[in-house]
Amino acid sequence: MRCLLIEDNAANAYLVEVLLRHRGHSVSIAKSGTEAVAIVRAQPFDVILMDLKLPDGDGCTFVPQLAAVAGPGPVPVIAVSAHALAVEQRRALDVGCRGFIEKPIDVATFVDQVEALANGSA
Amino acid sequence: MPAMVLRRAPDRRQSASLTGALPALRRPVSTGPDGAGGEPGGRREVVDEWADWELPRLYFDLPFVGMAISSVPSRRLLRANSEFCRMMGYRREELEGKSWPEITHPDDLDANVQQFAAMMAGKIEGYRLRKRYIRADGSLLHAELEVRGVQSPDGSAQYTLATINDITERRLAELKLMRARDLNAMLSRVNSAVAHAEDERGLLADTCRIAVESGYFGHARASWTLPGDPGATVVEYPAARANGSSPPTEGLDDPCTMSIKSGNAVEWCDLSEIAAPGPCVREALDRGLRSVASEPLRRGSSVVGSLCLFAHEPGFFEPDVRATLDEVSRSLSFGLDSLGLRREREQAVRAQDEAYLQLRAIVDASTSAIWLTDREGRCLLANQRCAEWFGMPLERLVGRTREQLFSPEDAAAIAARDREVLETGQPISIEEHISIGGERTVLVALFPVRDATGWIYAIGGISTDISEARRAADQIRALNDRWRSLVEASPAAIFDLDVQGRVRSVWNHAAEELSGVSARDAIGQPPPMMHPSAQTAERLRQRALGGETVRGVEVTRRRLDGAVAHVNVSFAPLRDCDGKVEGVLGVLIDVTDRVRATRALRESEARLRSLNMDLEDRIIDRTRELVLAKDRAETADRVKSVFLGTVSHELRTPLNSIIGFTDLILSGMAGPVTIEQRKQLGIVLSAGRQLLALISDFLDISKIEAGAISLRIAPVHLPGDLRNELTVFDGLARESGIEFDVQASGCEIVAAADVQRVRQVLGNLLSNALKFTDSGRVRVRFESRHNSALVSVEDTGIGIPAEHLLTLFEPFRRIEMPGQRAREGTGLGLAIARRLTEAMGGQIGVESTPGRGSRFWFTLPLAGEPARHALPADRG
Repeated sequence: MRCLLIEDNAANAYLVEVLLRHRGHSVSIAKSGTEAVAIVRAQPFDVILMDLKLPDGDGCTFVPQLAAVAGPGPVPVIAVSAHALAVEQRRALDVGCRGFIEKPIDVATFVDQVEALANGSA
Repeated sequence: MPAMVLRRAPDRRQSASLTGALPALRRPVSTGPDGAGGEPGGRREVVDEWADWELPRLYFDLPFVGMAISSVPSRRLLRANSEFCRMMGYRREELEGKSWPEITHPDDLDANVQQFAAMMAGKIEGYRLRKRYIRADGSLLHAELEVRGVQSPDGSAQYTLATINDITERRLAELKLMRARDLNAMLSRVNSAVAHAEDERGLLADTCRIAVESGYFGHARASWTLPGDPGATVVEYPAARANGSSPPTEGLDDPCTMSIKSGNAVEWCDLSEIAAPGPCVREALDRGLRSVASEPLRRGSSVVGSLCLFAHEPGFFEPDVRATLDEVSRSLSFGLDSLGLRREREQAVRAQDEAYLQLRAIVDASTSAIWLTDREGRCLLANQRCAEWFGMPLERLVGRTREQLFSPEDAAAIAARDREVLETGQPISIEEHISIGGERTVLVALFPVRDATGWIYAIGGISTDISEARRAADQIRALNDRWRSLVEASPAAIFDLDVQGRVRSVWNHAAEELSGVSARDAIGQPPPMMHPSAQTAERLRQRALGGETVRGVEVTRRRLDGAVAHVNVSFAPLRDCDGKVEGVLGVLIDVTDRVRATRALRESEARLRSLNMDLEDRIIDRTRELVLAKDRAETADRVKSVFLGTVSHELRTPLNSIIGFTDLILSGMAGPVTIEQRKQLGIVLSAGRQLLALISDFLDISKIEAGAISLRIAPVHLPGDLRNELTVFDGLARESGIEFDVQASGCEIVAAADVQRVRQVLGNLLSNALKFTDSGRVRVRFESRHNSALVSVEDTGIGIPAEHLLTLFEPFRRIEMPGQRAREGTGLGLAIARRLTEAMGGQIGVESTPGRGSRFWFTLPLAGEPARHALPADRG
């Protein structure tokens, strides 16, 4: 799968990248929502993993834009966040995220979760 | 006139002689049939002839008694003897031939005729009678007569034979006596009326009535003028016949008026002889009245009325009658006078009463307390104000002594004062503080009260409460003092000037400094700075004298040292009580320094203005911040949630790397790991997970406390939906060598709860049980109790001391037990468990015996329809 990871924390981005690559997925990394929109406009992805707290704003606000520029079919967006409040998780789902994976991620099951969410409704 | 009837022959002898005389008259020559006793004949012949004829004639004419013979049918006098003629004033030939009714007084005729008729009817032989004859001159002859009837032997002619005695003199004396008695009775009735009279009109009316009732007067009238009343009270009896009583006229035809005017008694003997009778006399004549007498009625020496009595008889008012009337009029005068005096006395008493009441009203209305005490200090009289001051009714106040009314000190002071008045006999006036119904300052005036002999029998007092006035005066004095010190302390020169412009009484310290002249020298002189050359100031002063207040006019003057000074001058008119301007108040302020400072001030102002603008900007900014802060405060809950989320997020983010990479390395994805490295990385992973748990718990409890927790209440099958948890803990227990036991009732229990939270609570209790149980057993029991599901976790662990049981469910309450190793844990587990249970509508609790074990339990509400299928046989 072509994965786009939107994450400003380099350590966490690296962890996810290692896990996904280990399972054979390609990973691009965007450090902000704006950068992500630019990247998605330039190339296609199968899944977008997005932190909700980005340097240029709330991740949720970029979801409609990402959906708009990703073409032609819908690209699933999965929120990966340390936000543990239920209200945050619901908000993410409300703006169009397909799933929500809570940080800290479970190394053993993380990629399975991503694959399941990406394929489950693809 | 009462007739004296002679019954049948009470006197035989007289009767016989009379009857014997009659035949001689008729038969002059014959002897009587009885022969006058049968005397022998010879000598008796001569004598008898004379005696038979002449002697009766002589006898008939004897001047001892009047005699008359009348014919019965014609009632005419046939023979009248000379005595009867003399009595009647007629000559014989005049009298004989008249009928006896003709010469009888009409009033007496009826009685006479009755007797006569009785005799004629044979009922009586004769009669004796008193009656009045009318003499030839019209005067009355009172006579007493005896009458006998005789008839001729053949019965053809009937005669009456009368002997008549003149009793006029006796009769008149009798009448006079009777009249005197009657008039005296009248007088005594009048006297009685006088004694009982209520008023003048009544007395006069009574008197008139009494006079008429006496029988002697046909009409009576009286008039009386009340003192101060121009009209007269006129009464009459019987009442006037028409148009009420005719008032006494002014003319001389009215005896009432005449007696009033002359002051003398007036008597008219015969009204019919008055040539030109006035209305009063005419009316009297109409009533058949013939004479009148009017007696003046007097008050003291002046005549103020009259009593006028009319009689039927002319000439009735003989001296004795007049004397009685005089008595009556005196008595009446006395009575009228007494009534007047009584009325005056009553009026005087009434006036006195009124005067007393008026005085009393004034005294009571007085705002001063007014009283009278006797020499011993006993209250004789007090006014309403006293009652108010003492707070007791007047009637209780009167009679009390000063010792009963005042405190001992006040009473002693009052006694000393009273003694002073008694000893000196002089009034005193003092101001004192006294305690009657509150503290008062009173002005007391005490004065002696003397009786007619000059002896002081009482002490009067008037006490005026001047507390208010005193306070007001004190306030005015204080105000005055304050004003004085204000004026003295004022940096402005203040002074007052009379109309001539001379300093009157005020010249304050600043004025002294400004002018260099002391107050002592300045007063009475024009102020030095108001020198006539200072024209502006003088003009201003004149304007103030005209009533205008002149404020803040700046003038320049030269100081003592020659420098030019700027002075700010104000003048205000000073008015007397009537509002007339009687001087001016001057205020001078040396503003030289101020004028100099003004320039500098203007520069400062400019600077200040720019600073101000700067400040305004800052205020605007600050206001904006405050508005934002307010917004933030208004959304405190949201902010708190955001904060919690942020903290949790920021702590979890690095933990993600720590736990993730440790896990990743341990999984061998990054290459081989030595045993030692694995052990150490295991510690890192465990510590990271513990930190994560702590963050989760912390977030949980914060969320719950912030009310931010959201529950998904749904049917939860117990223990079916918790099987995974139970399996995990069963494994953990086995690893620790502890027996794990699950007990459930026959049918599955369905609770209404959030299954995730139930798992969390149960997990919490189980992990605690395992944590504090080193050996033995942990048992989980599911039961249904009173519409709720009961879940209990029982262990055989170390137990909890009783003193900790109450605080066990508070956050961060970790129990340190001596002799026990420390156990892992955040200290939030039970607090979270309790809050979650309660949020779901359940309860949580614990029983424990130290050294024996603990039993934790929680309840959950049952779902509406509990499922009733059997529990699977296996118990994980």
